[in-house]
Amino acid sequence: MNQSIEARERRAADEQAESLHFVSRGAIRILCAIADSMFPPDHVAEAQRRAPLSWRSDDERDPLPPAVLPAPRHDHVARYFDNWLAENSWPVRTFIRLFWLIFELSPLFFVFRLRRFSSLDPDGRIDYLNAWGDHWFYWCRMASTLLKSQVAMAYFADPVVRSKFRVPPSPLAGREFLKWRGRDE
Amino acid sequence: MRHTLDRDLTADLKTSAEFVVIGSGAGGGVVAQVLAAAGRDVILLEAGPWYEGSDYSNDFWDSMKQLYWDKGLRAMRGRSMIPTMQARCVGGTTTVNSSICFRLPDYVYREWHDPFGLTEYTAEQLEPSFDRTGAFTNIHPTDRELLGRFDLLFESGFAKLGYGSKPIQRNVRGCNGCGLCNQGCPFDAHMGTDRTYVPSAVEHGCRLYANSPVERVLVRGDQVHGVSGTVRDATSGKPKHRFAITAKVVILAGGSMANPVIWKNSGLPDPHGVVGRHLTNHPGIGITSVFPGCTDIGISVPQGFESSDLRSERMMFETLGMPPEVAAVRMPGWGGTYKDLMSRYHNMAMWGVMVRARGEGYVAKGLGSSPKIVYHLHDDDLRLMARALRLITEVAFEAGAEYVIPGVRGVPKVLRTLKEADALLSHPLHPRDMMMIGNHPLGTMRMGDDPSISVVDANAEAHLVKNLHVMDGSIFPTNLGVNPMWSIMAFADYNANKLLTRY
Ligand SMILES: Cc1cc2nc3c(=O)[nH]c(=O)nc-3n(C[C@H](O)[C@H](O)[C@H](O)COP(=O)(O)OP(=O)(O)OC[C@H]3O[C@@H](n4cnc5c(N)ncnc54)[C@H](O)[C@@H]3O)c2cc1C
Ligand code: SF4
Repeated sequence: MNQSIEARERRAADEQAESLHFVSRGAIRILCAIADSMFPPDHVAEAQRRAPLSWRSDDERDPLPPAVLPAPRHDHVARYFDNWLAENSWPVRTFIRLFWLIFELSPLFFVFRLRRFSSLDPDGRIDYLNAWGDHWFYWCRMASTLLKSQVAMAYFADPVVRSKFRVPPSPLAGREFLKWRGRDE
Repeated sequence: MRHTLDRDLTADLKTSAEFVVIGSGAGGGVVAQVLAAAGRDVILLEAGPWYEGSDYSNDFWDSMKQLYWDKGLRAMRGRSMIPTMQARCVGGTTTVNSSICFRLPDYVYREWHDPFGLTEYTAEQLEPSFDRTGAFTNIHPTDRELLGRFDLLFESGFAKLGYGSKPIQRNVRGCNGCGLCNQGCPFDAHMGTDRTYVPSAVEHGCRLYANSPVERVLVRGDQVHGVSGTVRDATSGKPKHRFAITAKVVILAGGSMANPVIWKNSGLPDPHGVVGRHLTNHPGIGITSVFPGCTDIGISVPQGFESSDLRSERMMFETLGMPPEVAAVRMPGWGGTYKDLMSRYHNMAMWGVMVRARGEGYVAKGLGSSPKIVYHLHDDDLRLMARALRLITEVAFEAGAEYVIPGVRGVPKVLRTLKEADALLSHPLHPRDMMMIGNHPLGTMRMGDDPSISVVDANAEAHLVKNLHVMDGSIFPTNLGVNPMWSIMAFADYNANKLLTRY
C-alpha cells in the first residue's frame, strides 16, 4: 500500500519535473504526499478511518449518495504549484521552498522518525502532519493550516475532482454557472 | 474589463479638477457621484481595474489574485494572525462583499456624542442619506426562494431557542443566488458602487482613472494642493505613466488600511500620533455543522439569514456559505477521517458570529507596498466569542445537526452532544486557539472634535490640512456591531452634500 502510493508520487515527480519551471522533483513529492494524506485513495482511507470519527453519509436520512472525493492527480497538483510559484516574487518563492525543505526534513523532531516526510508510510505521514497541526507552538499550527489550504486549493482546482464532487467546474461564470445548476430557464 | 480614461493615456498626465476623490468603494464611489451629479468637476482615482460580470470566475484563487489587495492574503498581526481582506478594483470592497445591509444602530450614534463631540450625527439627521443610498442600491430583504437550506436550519435552530432571525437585507438586483458574491458577481446583480454610484458619476461627467493608485497627497502650507501617483497596466500591474493632478479639494476614501499609509507617505502632519491608530473591526468566527441531507452550501446566497437578537450583547449571527476549498481548511485532522469529513461538504452548514470587539490596533507603513497591520483582541472579546460559539453550537443541535466542528484548539475537534460544547466555556481561550477573520476594519482616521484623539472633524475635514476630507469607513470612531457598508455610504452621502454648500 505504502509502496504503491510512494511509487505513484515518485513517478509523478519524475514525469513532471521536466516540464515544470519552479517546483523541483523533491517539492512535487512533498506536495503530492500532503495531497495523498488529505484525500487518500479509497483503500488507504479505509485503513485510516478511525472508529469514533467514521461517518458515511449513506445514512437513510440523507437522500444524496456520499460525495466522491477521488485521489489527487499528482500531475495536476504539480502543475498547480508550478503556476502558483511563478506568480510570486523570488524572495517569496525562496521562502516557500525553504519551508518545504524544513517540513520534509523534520520528522525526527516531531515524531522521532529518522526519515524524510515523503518517505514515511501513510500512517507515519498522518502522525507527522497531526504533530504540526496540534503543536503547542503557534507557528507550526499556522504552517500546517497554510499547507492544508494550499493543497486544498490545488486539489479542488482539478476539473476531475470538481465533477466527481458535484461542485461546478472552474472557471465558470455567468449563464454557464446557471446551466450547471439547472437554474437557467 | 470596462474602459476607463487611464487606458487612453499616451504620456504622463498633468491636469486639474475641483475635486479629486481617492478610492471608489463604499465611501469614494458615493462622494464622486453626489459631486458629479451636482455638476461639479470631479476626478475619481482608483488603484484597481473596473471589471464587469464576464471578467469573474468561480475559481477561488484566481478571484483572490484578481480582486483583492495582496492576493487576499493580508493578515492582522498581534496576539494571533487574523486574516483580513480588502478589494482592489472599481467599487472597492462593495464589489466583492456579501451585500449585507444594516442601518447604523441608535446606540452607536449615542456612543459618539460625548467622547467624540459628534452631536450633529443622529438617526433622524442621517435618515435621508440612508433612504437615498438604500434606494440607489436597491436594498431589500432577501427573497426566500434564494435562500439555501442552511439558512432555514439556522432559522429553525434560533426559533427553538426563542431567538428571532430573518432574511438579511441585501443590495442586489436580479440576484439568482449563485453564491459567488465574494468572487465578484458574474451576473452584475450585486449593486456595489461599481454598478451604481460609479457609472452614474461617470455619466454625470466625472473623470474616472482606474489602475491609478495615488501615492501622495500634495500640500502647500496648510492647504491641500493635489495628488500624484502612477498609472499602471491593468493586467500586469507594471507602471505606465505618472500623474499629477491639482485640486481645490481632495477626498481620501481608500479605506481604513490604505488611508494612513497614503497620509504617512505624503508626509502630512500627525503631531498627536493618531493617524492609523484605533483600528477596530468585527472579528468573526464560525462553526461548521453537519446535517442529514443536502444544505445547498456553495450554491445559494452566501449570507442570507441573520439573528440580531443578541446585538446588545455585542454578538451578531449570520449564515455563511463557502466553497469546498475554504471549508477544507476548517476541517480537522488528516487521512481517511479528514476525507470522510470533507465528503460531507454538501451536508454542511457554516454559521458565523461577528463580535463587536473591544480590542484595538493600528495601521502603519509596512515593508513594500503592503501596510503593517497590528490588532490585539481584548480578553472580554475572547470570552464573548466562547459564549457565542457555545450558543451557536446549541442552535445547530436544536436544528438537528449530527455533529459540529467548532474549529477551536483545546476542545474536542468534533462535538456530538451539547455537553461536549461546554468545554468552550470552561477552557481558557487564547486568540491563537481559533481561526478568526478580521471583518470590517474601521477607525484608523477617526472623526471627532478633539485633534488629539481624532484625525478629521465633524465635517470629515482633516484638523490639520485644509480642504482635505476623509469619507469612508476609516472615520468611524468605534466599530458598529453591524456590517458597515450601508452606514459608510450614508455618511459619505451626508458629508458629500455638505461639500456642495461649503465649496
Ligand atoms: C469578503 C468581504 C465581505 C464583506 N461583506 C460585507 C457585507 O456583506 N456587508 C457590509 O456592510 N460590509 C461587508 N464587508 C465590508 C465592506 O465591504 C467594507 O467595510 C466597505 O466596503 C468599506 O468601504 P470603504 O469605502 O471604507 O473602503 P473600500 O470599499 O475598500 O474602498 C476603498 C477603495 O480605495 C481604493 N484605494 C486604496 N488605496 C488607493 C490608492 N492609493 N489610490 C487609489 N485608490 C486606492 C481601493 O482599491 C478600494 O477600491 C465585506 C468585506 C469583505 C472583504
Ligand atoms: S448570489 Fe450570485 S447572483 Fe446573487 S449577488 Fe451574489 S454573486 Fe450575484
